[in-house]
Amino acid sequence: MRKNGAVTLRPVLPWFKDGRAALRQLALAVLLLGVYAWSAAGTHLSISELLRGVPGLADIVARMVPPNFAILPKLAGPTIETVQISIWGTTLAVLFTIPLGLAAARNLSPHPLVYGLARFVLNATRSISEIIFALIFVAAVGLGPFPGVLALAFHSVGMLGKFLAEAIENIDAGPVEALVATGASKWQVIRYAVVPQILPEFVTLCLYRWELNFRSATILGIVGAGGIGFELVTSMRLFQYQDMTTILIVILALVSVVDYVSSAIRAKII
Amino acid sequence: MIAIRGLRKEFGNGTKALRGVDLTVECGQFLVLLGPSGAGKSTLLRCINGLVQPTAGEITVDGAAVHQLRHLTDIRRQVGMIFQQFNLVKRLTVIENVLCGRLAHSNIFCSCLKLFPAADIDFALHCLDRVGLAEKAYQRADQLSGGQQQRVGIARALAQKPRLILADEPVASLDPRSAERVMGILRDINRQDGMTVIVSLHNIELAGRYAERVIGLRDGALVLDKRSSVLSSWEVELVYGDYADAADDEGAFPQVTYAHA
Repeated sequence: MRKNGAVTLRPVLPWFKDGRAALRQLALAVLLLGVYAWSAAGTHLSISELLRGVPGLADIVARMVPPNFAILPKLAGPTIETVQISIWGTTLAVLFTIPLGLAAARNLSPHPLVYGLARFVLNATRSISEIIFALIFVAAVGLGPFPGVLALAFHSVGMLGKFLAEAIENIDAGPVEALVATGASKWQVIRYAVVPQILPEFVTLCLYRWELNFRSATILGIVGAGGIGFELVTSMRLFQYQDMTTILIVILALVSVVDYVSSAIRAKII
Repeated sequence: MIAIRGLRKEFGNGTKALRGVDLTVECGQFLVLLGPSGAGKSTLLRCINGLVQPTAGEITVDGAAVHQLRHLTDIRRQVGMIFQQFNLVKRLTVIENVLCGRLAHSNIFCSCLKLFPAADIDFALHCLDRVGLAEKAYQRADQLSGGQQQRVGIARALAQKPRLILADEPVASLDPRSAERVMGILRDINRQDGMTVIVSLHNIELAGRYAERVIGLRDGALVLDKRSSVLSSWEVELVYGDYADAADDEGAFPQVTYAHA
């Protein structure tokens, strides 16, 4: 900018096309503000209440330190179980996802009905949270880590399948056309033209889902579906806040380890 | 021999790509399809191997009707196709891409495990040798230059041991030297193997040097059929006159899906 010349600014495109557009945007802004105000009232959003809670919070934090590392040996079993739940929950999800994702990809689906059904299953499993699935499976197969595995698998399929189907829909159609032109069968076309194109994206996705599933596995214990979450909720109910701190530290450490392992695998594959 | 009778194609958006084409191509011919963008060249080629279903008309390849489903896979096996954008599977190696030309002759289960008969692998290497790329066999396809990728495309077509090769604008994305090499390889295949080759081009000069027979297509209709490569200026005008009108249709290129794979 020059030292003493005034700089004139003007918009690249006019901010408002005309008076009616300006009015419409104003109305939209008012509507948005209204929604926020309404939701704030519904959720008792209040700064004063937050401030009033500060002493209580400080009290809990004070009781959380120092962490009680004496319980570490007792945590080893549930911790390992949490990792195992995440491994099988994710693997089962990947196995269920492959046929569903193929059926839910518009360019591969054998029939519009199959496509619609696959999309519905994916949407349904995605919209039910893993905790709700865990409650259902605990009721069905009893307490323990196995209902946790099933809960993760069923919930993960929704997201994995949706992204797999989208990855398939976004592939370059050229190689597919070329292979169809050679007379190759549908499965051969999938193997040679579709799989190589989606593999890096799908592997990345599965590893990311594994990270999410590990985090979910740490709370499944709250509803009795195995893992370290059971220890967490027990220590809270017994007001043993120092034990709780140790458990949180273990979870934090493990989440970091899982993230590290997953990104190391990703870097190797792609 | 390819016999095309009354071929019409209208796409869902109302574009009339072909408006009644009659054409007979004898075995062993090197035929060039000439015409501006949107004239229907790609659609005509894709009707021959059933990638596009014609609205009306009939095509037979060596007596077998393309529109009869039981013949379709057989015809596709015997017809190699080469594309403007090469259409290689970029993340596979060159040899795997060439072996894609053998898939229709392979057991589905074994080929999905990437197991091929030793003879097929040897033949794929031989095909690569013919296009001068034997030493690139185990590189990933996307590491090759455009001209090399197109030669891999030709090797893939050769691996099918086809009777006919369709080439859809094979040199439109290449620099002049690579283009010359690709056209030279196609001519060698035509001469040495007696293979029928149909190439669509929009370069009149190239067509003049390689074609045995030139077919001019304009607005979906056949406007020129000449058994010589030398075109007079009025013949060029016949195909390309008012080029701007035809170029408007460029966006109407068919989206090919493999619903009838």
